[in-house]
Amino acid sequence: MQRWFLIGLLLLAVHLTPAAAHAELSAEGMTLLGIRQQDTTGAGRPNVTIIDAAFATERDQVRVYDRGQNMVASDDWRIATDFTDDVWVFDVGADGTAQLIITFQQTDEGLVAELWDDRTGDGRVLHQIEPTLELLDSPFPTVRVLARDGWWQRADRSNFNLHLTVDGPVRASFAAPAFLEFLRHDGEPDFTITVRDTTNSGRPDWQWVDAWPKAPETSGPARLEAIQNVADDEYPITGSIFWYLLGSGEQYNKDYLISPPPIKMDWTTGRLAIVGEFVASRFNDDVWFMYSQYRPTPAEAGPASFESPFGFYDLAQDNDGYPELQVRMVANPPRNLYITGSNDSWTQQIRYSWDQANTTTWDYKLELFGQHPIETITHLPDFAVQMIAYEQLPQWVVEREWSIDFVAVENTDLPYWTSEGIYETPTDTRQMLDYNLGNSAERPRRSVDLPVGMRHESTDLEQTYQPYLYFSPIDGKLHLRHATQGAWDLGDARALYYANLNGDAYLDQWLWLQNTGDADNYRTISRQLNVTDAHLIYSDSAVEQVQLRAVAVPPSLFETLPPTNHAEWQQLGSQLAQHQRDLDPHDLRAKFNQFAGDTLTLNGARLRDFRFTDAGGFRFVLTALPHFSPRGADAALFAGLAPGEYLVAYTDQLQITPLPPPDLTLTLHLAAQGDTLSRLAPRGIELSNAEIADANGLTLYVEAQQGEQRVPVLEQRVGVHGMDQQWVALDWQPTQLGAWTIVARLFDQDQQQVAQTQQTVTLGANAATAPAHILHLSSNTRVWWQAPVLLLVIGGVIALIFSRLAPPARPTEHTP
Amino acid sequence: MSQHQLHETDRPLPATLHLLIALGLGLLFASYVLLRYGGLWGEGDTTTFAFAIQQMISSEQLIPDVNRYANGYGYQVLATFLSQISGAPIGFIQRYAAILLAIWIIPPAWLLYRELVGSARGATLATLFLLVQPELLFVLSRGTHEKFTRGLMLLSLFLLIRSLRSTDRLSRFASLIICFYLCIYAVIAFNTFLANSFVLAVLLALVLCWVVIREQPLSLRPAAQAGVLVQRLLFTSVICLILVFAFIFYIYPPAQISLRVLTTIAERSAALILDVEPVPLAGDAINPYATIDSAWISREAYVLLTLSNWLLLGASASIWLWQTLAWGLGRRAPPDPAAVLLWAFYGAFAIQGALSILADFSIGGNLQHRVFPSFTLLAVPLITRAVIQWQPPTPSIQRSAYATLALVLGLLAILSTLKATNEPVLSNKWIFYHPSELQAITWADTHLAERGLWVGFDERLIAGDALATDVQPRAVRLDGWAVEAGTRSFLISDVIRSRGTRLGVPLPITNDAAITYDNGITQIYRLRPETPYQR
Repeated sequence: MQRWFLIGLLLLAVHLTPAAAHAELSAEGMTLLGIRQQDTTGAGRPNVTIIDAAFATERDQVRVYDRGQNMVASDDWRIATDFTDDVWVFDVGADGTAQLIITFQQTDEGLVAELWDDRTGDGRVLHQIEPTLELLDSPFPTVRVLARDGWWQRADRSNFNLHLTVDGPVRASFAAPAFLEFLRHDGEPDFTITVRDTTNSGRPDWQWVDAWPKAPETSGPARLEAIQNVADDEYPITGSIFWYLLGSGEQYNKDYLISPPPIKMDWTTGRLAIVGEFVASRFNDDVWFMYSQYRPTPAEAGPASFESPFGFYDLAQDNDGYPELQVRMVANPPRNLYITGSNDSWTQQIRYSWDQANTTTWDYKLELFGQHPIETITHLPDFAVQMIAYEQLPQWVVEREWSIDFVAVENTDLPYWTSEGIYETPTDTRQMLDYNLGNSAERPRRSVDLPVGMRHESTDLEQTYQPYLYFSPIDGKLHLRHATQGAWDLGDARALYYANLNGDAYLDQWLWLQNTGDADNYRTISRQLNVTDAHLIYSDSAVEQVQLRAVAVPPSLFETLPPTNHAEWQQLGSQLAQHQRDLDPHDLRAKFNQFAGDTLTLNGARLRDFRFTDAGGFRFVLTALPHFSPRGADAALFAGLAPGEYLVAYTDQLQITPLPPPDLTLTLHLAAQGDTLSRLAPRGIELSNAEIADANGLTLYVEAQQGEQRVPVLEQRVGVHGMDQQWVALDWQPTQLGAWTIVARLFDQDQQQVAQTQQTVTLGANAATAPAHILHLSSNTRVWWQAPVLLLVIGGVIALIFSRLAPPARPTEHTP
Repeated sequence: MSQHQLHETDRPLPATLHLLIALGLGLLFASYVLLRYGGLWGEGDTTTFAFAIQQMISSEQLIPDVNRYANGYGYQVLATFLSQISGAPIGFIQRYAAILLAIWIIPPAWLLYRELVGSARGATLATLFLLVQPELLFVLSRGTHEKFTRGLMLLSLFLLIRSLRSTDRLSRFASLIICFYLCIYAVIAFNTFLANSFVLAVLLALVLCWVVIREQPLSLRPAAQAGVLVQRLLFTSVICLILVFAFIFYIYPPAQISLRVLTTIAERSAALILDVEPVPLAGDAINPYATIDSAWISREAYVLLTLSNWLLLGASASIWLWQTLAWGLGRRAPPDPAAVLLWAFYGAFAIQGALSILADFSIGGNLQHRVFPSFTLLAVPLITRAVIQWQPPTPSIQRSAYATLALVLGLLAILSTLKATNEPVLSNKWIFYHPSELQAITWADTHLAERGLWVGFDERLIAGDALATDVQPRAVRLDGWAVEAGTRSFLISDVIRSRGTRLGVPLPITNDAAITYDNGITQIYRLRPETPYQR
């Protein structure tokens, strides 16, 4: 008897004492250190489970209180506790306080979890467990999670048909940092989050967040964020702290190949910091998301604005978690409240990047600007929105015409990868938006300052095109059809510039420049390759050589739209593999020598000002140096040329003409006189060049002079072709009467004045500021003397009344 | 001279007639304002209040969610009441009724001045002096709260002084005190910050009273009266401050928003203590000192138009300083309690005004100093007493002096009226508009819906159109000052051309802009598109 008693005592001791503090390693975001239970009610079964764990510090504690009278005795917390009706108290540092409390309960709506964090700033959640649960920091939970299905997790899957509300300054959307200051913990939800598992796969495939900050409605941040995982392949959640949705961390977005718990606690402050992504917005290869400033409702399929949609596509069909195509559409609906100067047109700005080689490196990008109406209604769970559907987006883009920038990542030393495609683009996008909206006529700045190794080209702003690319036989690379210019920073003060001089669809000039030397000995080396219908013209300033080769080079070997699906992507890859050559970008001569033909070589010569002529030929200025010597085809034409400059022109045959300097004149076209200050009349300047030499890189400066006053009117870069004229409009409104002298000066690249003219304009008196005129305009009776008469009446009455009211004169006192 | 000696020695006119004369002067000025532009004018603050009134009417709330005046609700309530009982629209109220209502300030001013100066003649003279002050005329000629705020200040001072004289008659005393506190609450309701600074000025006046009374020899000091005076003023001030506190923090929460705009303790203190007013947006406060040169055709014109201010300032300051020295050094005793009160109130408002100017310079940003009006109210009776008390050596000198003063006053009245009404011949800030301009806007409302239309170098036409249409929204987006992005249509009228010439600013259109509307005096130009995206 005594023996059995001792054994029983031992068993009880083992049961009721903490388990040995051995670390139980777990795939979750915590380390279990031990578990014990208590019966505080004397009911003969435990009602409190105390779990020692490390989830924030080396030693923390979780106390689980049974509210359903169903806690069982076990040393496995999964059996001892539940997420149905228990209260979970998270105690960082195991000091008896609470930093987070989660209450679970079944309601008529479904299974509810309410998360209570510190709302008073003392780093703890004040609470009372017995006799009744009371949460004293706030009457409202910060996060509330509802599972209408009535369960969180089952044996093989988790429930992701959830509805969450967030109350207070918690980052619960991507755009939330922009309006955190407007979020108040006041019982009114600041965010509502809906998560769906439409296929019941145990993985979420839909998520949308509605933000309700008490910020002005016209402030910019997105208020509706929707995400869909089209392939339904979200990774299982790892790193949870007991409850599958609870974790730690600082990142709102997911990352590739991982799904952390979305509800993230900042244990150091005792506050819920983030309710992050259930569905990865960017970090997968068949997903899309929408961040919209406008908020469509179930009743109205309104337009989406901003990123709508932003899609990622698995062109390689390898399901490796990394997309090969990214298409970002920033859509501005008509009269967009969030864009200053928005007009009544749709405008779009699109980033279209793809990884052609499937090496997790973005290879090419198109940045597209345009105005296309969007009438498509895309139906999503619970609402519909006026937006191009994810599946249709790539095709929709390539079918339409745009103003285009093209970027190719040529620097293969460092892989270029971001979660959102290639960011860099040569056009200032803000300026482009204003230009695209019609708010500004100022051409957006086109920068050549992209990082080293990024080749870029742009179409003309005035025209729109489908985004065709072509493969050039000259340099073995993909180029943008209809590009007018391009550049490639090669590093070490070297760059390659592209130009389309004849206005067709293909580049026809490669210009390589290298800056060498120091401030005292600075020089630029240039190599130039020009492509015409029947010739290649190559020049090298370093060796002072010019070569002409009679050869017809096809402008492209193949042309294509950017890939929109797996088949097109594969086909482009095959074509590139077939035709691509590894040509040194610095070596224009090698490109020139790819093609055979009759060649004229001019040694001791330089070339400048190459251009195409209206007659279908070309021309350039040849500088013959003292050691000039021609050889090869047509060398006889150049034999005996004295040192100097010559115009070399080709229509059907080569012609050489000595080149005089430009003969420039300016002619002002202004009215000689006027009688009002602000009546407008056409004004301008005509620039004429009476010689055959082109005049480029000139600066036209116009100012208006009156006495000592100098008013700048115009400063503009201009150029005039040989035997041609140019008109420059003047927009000048004189603000004072009298004689004005308009002086126009033309300066060359060396700041030397090459032409001047002036004209005097006399502006006579006008009635605009005459008092009588103003009185006439301002008087409701249109009678100018009305006001003066009324004023005289006022003055007279005041004077009269004062004179009547002034104290009477007192009689002088006489002393006897 | 005792109070009795202040009374006129010739046959006096009845007090009622004096008051009617004063009212007539006010009506004269109001008539000029109405006739000058015929109601065809627009001004920023007037329009702001129009929106606030309209919002109160349409929302049927004392504190609407939007378009509310954060510093008080009194004026909006009054205008709403007038609009509802008369059926007059808001634009009419603001452009016409508000001008005519300016004469309401006359009775409280006259009554107060009669208490301070000692006679009906003096009260009428002081009121006449008041009506040649351009800064006060300016606030009377607009559709804002200020005419009522200032008038209520005058009325409350009158009631306070009367109550101090009625301590022996309890029923009258109680009635006056109740009316006084009702009046103070009304001031608070019209503008809580001005009310608070007014109350603090009263408190400061109390301190000055106490100083003066304390310095007088015991034999001259009406001891009991002095003690009662000081005690009354102290209680009064404390209760008034409690009312202000309750209003800001409990009755009218939007007033707290105004206070919160001011981010520093210095700014908040200045708003509550001095004669300044918070403005909604930081940087919106105009530096009145800096705009003198640009607001008028010349600095000389400005000096001339404000001559009345400078004369008032100089004369009243001289008188006050003389009194301070005389009483302080014990050479003279204050002639009567009214003189002490007037001296104290003037000193309090003058000190407050000086500190406000300093605050404007040193703190700036969110505060808009209201120069002169409060100070003016107490300066004119000070001068009036001096004029009445002046005893020239001979009657002929007196007659000549008064004749000269009459002419000067007549001239000052003209100059002050010109300044108060922003006479466009002299002012660069025009408030009038031509009917053809509104016609053009009406056309644009149909043909340029959802588009921008630039309508001038400032808010003139925007405000004028709002008042003319009873602040009903337009389909066209009116754009003033700098041209907004996306605005490609421009309203150019003879008024705008003249204004541009006056300001030396070119019109914001190009030589080749197309005329899309022309009614002879006003055109609408449309810029030609320079890109495929412009229309």
